[in-house]
Amino acid sequence: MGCAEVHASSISLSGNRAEFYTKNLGIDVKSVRIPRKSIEGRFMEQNDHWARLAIEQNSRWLNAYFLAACGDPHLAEDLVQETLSAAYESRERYKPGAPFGAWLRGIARNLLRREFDKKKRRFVVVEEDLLTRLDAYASASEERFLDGAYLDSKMDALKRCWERLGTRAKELLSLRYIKNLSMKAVSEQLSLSQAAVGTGTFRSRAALLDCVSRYLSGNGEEGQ
Amino acid sequence: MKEMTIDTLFLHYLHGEADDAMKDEVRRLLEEDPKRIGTLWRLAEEEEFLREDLPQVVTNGFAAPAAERPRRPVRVRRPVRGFGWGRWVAVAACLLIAAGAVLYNIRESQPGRQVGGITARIVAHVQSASSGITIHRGESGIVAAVGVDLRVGDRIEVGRGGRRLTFSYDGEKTGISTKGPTILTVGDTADGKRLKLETGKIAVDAAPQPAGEPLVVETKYARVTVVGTTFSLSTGTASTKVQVFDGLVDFMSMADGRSLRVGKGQFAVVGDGIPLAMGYIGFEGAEMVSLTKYDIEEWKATWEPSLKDTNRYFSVCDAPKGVALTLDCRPNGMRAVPRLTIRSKTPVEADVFTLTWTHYRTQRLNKNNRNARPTWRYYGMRRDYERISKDASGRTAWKIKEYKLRDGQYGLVREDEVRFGDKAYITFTTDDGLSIANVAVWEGRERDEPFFEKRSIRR
Repeated sequence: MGCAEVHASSISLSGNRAEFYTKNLGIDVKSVRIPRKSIEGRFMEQNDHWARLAIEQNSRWLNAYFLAACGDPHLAEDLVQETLSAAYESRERYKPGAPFGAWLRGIARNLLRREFDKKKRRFVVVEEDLLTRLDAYASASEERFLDGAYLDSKMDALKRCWERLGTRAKELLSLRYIKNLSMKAVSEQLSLSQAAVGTGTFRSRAALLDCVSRYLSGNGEEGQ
Repeated sequence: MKEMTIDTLFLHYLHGEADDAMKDEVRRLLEEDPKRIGTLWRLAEEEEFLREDLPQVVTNGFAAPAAERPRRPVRVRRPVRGFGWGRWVAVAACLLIAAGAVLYNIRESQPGRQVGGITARIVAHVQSASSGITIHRGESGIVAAVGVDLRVGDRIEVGRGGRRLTFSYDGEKTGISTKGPTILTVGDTADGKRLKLETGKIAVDAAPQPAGEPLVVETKYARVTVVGTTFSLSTGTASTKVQVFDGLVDFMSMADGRSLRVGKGQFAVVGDGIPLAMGYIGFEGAEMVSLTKYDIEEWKATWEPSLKDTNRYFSVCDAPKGVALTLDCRPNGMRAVPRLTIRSKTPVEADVFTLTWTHYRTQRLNKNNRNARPTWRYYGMRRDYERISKDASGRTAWKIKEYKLRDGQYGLVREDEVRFGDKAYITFTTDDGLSIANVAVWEGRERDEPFFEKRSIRR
């Protein structure tokens, strides 16, 4: 199989980013599934867009990595972008065949340390032992994303479970995860105490994710 | 219920709504039980999933029913443009591959090429090999050469004369090098990679291993469990020693099952009549370690009773070149600190380094007036140290070569009047001016145990 014969795999890009790659690579990245290894194989090519794509497809687990380390969603997003940018700029240092995710994690770890060092932020996970453990979890997550069907199945499950969720739970989760409102803003909008919003969101979230995991394990229908 | 509380706390933290006290609590929980990082990771992953994918599901980004979306892979094929030269190259490549496969099968079908009647799985390949190294596979022996595959059960025998073999595991960056005469068996199980070191020394540069599948190296005396680090392991007829250059390993005594966690810059040893113990590696034969401020940890002194001091810390500060340690202490009483010797915790290549006390204080002016309120006078002072010895484990000691007061009052203060000052910048500078190392302060006489006990990093 040549690299141009793309089929099957995992990449999750949305909106403008997907359009950007579709336009520049001549492949509809939303409908054509591109094997991750093929993308990484083209990382060192002169074509910048392939290189960017190779890096960007790792943004999902990187986001979780930074979020766990710093506990600030906005900072985590910034750090992901910085990591991707740094990886792109130093791509000549990547040794073809070396584990791509591990290379990115190395960059991410350095950025995390630099951020901690320069801005004296109160990061929680900066100890070597904890970072090493975090690396292991991130590595496992990266592996899961290698399976092209993984994200599809998860999205399927999420859609089905969302439809089964109660009105109140939907309302809470929508305000929290779609409108990105803080706990305080949600409580003001719903005229509830922050504690009630916190408990309600936690339970709704747990119910939704529990349902998703039941679906993924094949017990979705039975479980409902 | 407690777990629920922890989950809720972690979620607050992940939502970016945790104040400093909550962050401290999260940090404490993780320090108390590092396995909780698994819970934190799970929640972070779920948060990421909900933030990223829930908007797509709810805002009609998932318009097409899941079941109707194409499940079969889509292939984008290049249009066929005749039977050009590229096709001939492809045909030639296929023929070459086929020929290679036939030759390979012939080779593999020879006696001794199989282990127990079943061809063992290939797990690694030789990257470099000096002459005279044999790979024992079943009843046959294969001469090690670049590109030779290593299979589960292969026993590598490196003879005398310091010959060296390097191999790396397929699919990752983990590399193993033998050093000198070595006998090593390669293994791989569902629970992770396995190596058995019968004798000799190996250096391991391990890439992060999959969760729950650590790389394990066993000797007669110890078992080293690693998830991703750089270390060397040597075993002889009486003991096994691990030296860790980066990351962490678990070092378990095979005799009693006791285990130590060995970190960067440390070694551990166990053997016949040698209890499980750990210490700091010296630089004899070790690779140079360039440290950042994150490699330097805070230490608390446990002084001898006569010099007991309750407030001595090393902390880290920025220095013009690299990093430096700050010693913050308040000496009690009048007793002078004896001559100091400083030892490296991690490899340092400098023969001479400078210890600069930006301030030290003395009660010298009040010596003749016992009724007067003690008045501290502050001096800046610089001391130059030179290497005087290395002990059996390779650690190095330096002694004071000379000292100068900052303002040119050379020799004005006698050494027995010198006390620790408020801050001391301890900086090792190598020829390139950038390599800095951690130090532990020792008193003048030789000791077998570290003078300081480790504390958590103070941020």
